[in-house]
Amino acid sequence: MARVVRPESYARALIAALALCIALAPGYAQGGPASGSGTPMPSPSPLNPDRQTNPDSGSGPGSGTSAGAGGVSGGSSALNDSRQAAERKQFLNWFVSSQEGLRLAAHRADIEALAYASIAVGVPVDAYKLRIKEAAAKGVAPPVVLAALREDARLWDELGNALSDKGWPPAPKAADLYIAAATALRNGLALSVVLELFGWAAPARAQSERVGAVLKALTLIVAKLPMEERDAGRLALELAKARLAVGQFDELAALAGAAAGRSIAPGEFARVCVEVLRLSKPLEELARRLSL
Amino acid sequence: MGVLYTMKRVKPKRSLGIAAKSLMLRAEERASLLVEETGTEERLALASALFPRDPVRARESAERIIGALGLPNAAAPRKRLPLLAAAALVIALASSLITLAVVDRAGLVEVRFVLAAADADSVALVADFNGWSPQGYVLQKVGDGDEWEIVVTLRKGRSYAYNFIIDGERWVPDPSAPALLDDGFGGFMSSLSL
Repeated sequence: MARVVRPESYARALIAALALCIALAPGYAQGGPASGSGTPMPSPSPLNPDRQTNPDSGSGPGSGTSAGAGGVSGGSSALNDSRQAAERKQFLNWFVSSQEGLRLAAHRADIEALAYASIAVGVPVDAYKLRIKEAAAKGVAPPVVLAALREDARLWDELGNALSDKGWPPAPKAADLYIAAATALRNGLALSVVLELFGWAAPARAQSERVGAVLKALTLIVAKLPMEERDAGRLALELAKARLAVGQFDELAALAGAAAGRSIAPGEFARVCVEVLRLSKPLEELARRLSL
Repeated sequence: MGVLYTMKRVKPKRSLGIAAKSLMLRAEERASLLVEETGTEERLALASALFPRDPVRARESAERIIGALGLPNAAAPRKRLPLLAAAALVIALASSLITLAVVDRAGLVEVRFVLAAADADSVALVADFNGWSPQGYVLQKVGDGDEWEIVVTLRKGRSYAYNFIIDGERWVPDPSAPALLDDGFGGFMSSLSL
């Protein structure tokens, strides 16, 4: 069970801010560089998961070294070629030097081929690294990892093609979004729904983390209330645009489960849900309208 | 001295900038004229007369100019210490509020992960936010019960995937999570939206 304990208290934040002011003051007074890192919450690892997940330098999302193709817009083919070459080199270096890569040495050629093809269509190579790390942590057998990567690559390449030259998602967060999308597709969400959502999110410059959360929420909803792609697409867009906090997405999925328990038609759930979201009403209103 | 005299006669009010600029131009014109008309020694003497080096006289001159132009007197900071302290306090508070807003915007929340595992000797939390590494994410047993827990600070506004590892080898999803997701490796993971 995971439960939110409490938001970071304002008092603690204020104390931290004042401490920061005091710490910085001598630095300025002496005319030198400010002492300290200047980051408000530097140490706990979950606050900076990108660094935590990518101890190897420059290899992870957020490192800024990998220009996920989602973040590449236009530009000359020469630049694109050089970016791809850099990503290939970076991936190869990581693959041959990391523990996670070494355990997949027998499948290196296959995995390289998958990764390089994905890079060519703009998939951030960090998506591969994160999945390989996850597999290594879970102790997944190398042939299973290869099969899973093949499936991921198929989905990622579709998305990469759809997002090419859109300039979205931003490079540091692109890998997470690709992984979220692959998880959604693997768990039953239709590709057309994902593409519809991305089709809106790219020009709208939507927050990629929220879009990823929408995909997961929708996956949970559709798992309980299998609905038509058109309904799922509308719901996805409304959920992405709505004011509803991401923290309430699980609650929404639970309501979908309750609706399924009451044999409410998936289309009806989607219709009412879209209405409530458009009106920026709380989820209690959805529960009330559906008599849940 | 003529320049200074001219300065004294100016009454800068609303058009302070223009008046000051006009004075500067006139001073420059006057100085260049003098320089053109005189030799080196004379120039030095004139310059010394125009811009007195004597600190007392210089201060007097400066105060006359400052008074005439109605400028704030920056040469007397001690008289303004309380004002400066107040300004510093305001700046500190303002920056604190800005920092506070940034921290709030970052949206951190503490999340308590709990697993009931009566027979377990150890339980760890692995997730996408810690690179699926149990190091540093070992749950503590709560009292004499069968519950294990850990509190983790996470950012709001996104979804997380996680599992528990029992006794270092058994990966299990959260039984109380709203749904399980296929992880593509033959296992399942739990999802949490914050």
